[in-house]
Amino acid sequence: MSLKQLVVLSGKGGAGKTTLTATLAKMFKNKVIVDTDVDAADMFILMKPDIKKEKKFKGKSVAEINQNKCTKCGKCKSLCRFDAINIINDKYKINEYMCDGCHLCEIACPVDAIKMEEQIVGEWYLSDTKWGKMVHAKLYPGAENSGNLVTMVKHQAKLLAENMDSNYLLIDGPPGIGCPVNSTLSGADYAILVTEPTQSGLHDLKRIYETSRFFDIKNYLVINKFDINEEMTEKIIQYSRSNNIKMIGKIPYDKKVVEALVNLKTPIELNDEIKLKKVFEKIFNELICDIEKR
Amino acid sequence: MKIAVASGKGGTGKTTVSVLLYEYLDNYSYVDMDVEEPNGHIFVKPAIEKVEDFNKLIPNINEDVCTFCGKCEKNCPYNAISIIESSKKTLFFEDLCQSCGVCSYVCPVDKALIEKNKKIGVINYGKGFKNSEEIDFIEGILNIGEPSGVPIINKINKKLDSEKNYIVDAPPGTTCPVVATIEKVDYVILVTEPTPFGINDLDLTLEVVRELKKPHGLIINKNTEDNNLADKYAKKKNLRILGKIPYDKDFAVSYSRGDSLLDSSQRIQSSVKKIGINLNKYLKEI
Amino acid sequence: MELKKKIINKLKEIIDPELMEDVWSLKLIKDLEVDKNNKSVSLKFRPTAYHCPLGIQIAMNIKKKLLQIEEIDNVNLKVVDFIMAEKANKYLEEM
Repeated sequence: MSLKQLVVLSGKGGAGKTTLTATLAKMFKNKVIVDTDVDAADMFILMKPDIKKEKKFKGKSVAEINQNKCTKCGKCKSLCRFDAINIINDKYKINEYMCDGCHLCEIACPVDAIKMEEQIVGEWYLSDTKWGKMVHAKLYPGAENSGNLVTMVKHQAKLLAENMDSNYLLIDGPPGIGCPVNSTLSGADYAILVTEPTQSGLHDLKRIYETSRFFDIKNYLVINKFDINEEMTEKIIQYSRSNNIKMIGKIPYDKKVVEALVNLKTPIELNDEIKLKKVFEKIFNELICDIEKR
Repeated sequence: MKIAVASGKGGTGKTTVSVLLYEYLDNYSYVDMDVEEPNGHIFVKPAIEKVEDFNKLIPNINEDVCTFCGKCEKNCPYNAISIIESSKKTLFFEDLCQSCGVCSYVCPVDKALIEKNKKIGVINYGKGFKNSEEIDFIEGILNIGEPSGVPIINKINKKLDSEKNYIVDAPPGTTCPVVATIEKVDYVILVTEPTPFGINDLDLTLEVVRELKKPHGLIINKNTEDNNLADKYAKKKNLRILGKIPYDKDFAVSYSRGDSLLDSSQRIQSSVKKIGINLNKYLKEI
Repeated sequence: MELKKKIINKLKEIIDPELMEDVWSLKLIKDLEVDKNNKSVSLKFRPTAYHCPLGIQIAMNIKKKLLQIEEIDNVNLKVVDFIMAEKANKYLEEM
């Protein structure tokens, strides 16, 4: 069986992606676990990885002005489209958060006072966990999240999986619909869209679904906390029916899930909560059945 | 006074808190900068009065005039232009273009490369449920497929009036869009939920907020009496707690319907009141 | 220096701008075959992601750089596992 990529996304933050992915990670065999939410990676909290390899990740360059050469002509500031050049204490300074690394200032400076400096913007890790190998990363706060680190994480996971003859990449994705989500979706075969039965949940589900349509992917739906609003749940089910998103599970609102998380456990590790366990097992079975049919 | 509501982790309650404060505080406008997934409108229910297209500039090469010298390709920092000299072809990869203007600047041939507008989103201006006389709701929406919302966030920032008060609903995460939002505000309210995920992501955001040297305080959302994870963290980091909003099923149901949040329960109302008192106290210190 | 080694060294100079590492170390090159007598090399390039927005540009750069080697006159480069593979391969032929 060739390698298949399964991504868990939601559009809306806080819908339950990571909890679901971590739970699935404990049920899927022969997979590599991947966390592409490099901005605010959380999978490691539940997977407890033993890091075997760590590598720094280079990002875009940032401009730097040599104050000794600068003649304060102001050409750089007038040309910069990212509002990244300010005058502070009578000196021209680059705001490294706003600088996009386009190097127009470096090209335009008449006295060659500007140079581009490479930045390390994060790091990525190859690890062992009790449930399989894992690849994840950390983007340094304030860095540009352009999806590149996500691409690196996925690429390394792919190489690892090919080496080990794994069947799946199980990928915990980021919130939103931007670059990091696109990088996560690229090459994916299946997407589980997790939502909650709220106005925001439906709104964001629609946006993430539209995003995933750019890619050739089979979509599945999981509704989390479905019983806080059964009317809304029904609306979401209707939406998924009319858009060929196959529903594979409904998870009830349960304080026990949060309690489990606080104790760094997934819902299926709660021995007393048979009902909850069965909910997740059903999701897993529905998913596997449908995937293996295709 | 511009107050941003940020969190790192999605789903902890940025929009919830932003809407509650919009309702509770006097004379504050609501600004939604979560341009990838703006949700404020669901609760603020604005009557939109003005819609502004937001454009980015992209290069257009006139192949009749172009000499295929390749200067644009060589200098483009994003690999958005490729030139095949042998067959006199130019390729433009629009998704990569960041509108930096380098290509236009370096092109040696007059009128060979001209920049044109491409719409990547909108900015909506309206009046929310408080029925104010002036515009008190602004939201940015990024078109699906566009890679970055930062330009829209920067544009909205430029439109804000320095004499007015704003609650700014920030995007989740800790990277560019959040930095662009927080950079221009006077105070940051951090929102977390007392779970390991919430605390982990709060820690990342706190780092950014402190690096940008913004005055800040914490609201613990979905709080339960028996859980002191967030309190312990706040103490360790010397982080001021503005208040706690209780875990409340009635509140969750109101939220799911898009109904008024402040009215949903007594407990919520009194917790927002306490937050308001603390907030006013700390804002005076700035 | 052996020709294959020269080629690999050249490939190590080509940086994937997204990941900031060279295409050889990233294992993006497959089926590399050198025909010294006919001064030609054939290889496959697999971009880091199926939708990699830089796939075409990197492929063209690979061909351009390999043609810089004195002992090489022909480069048969095919892009694989890529949403715009057909387009990319067409442009490569036009180069």
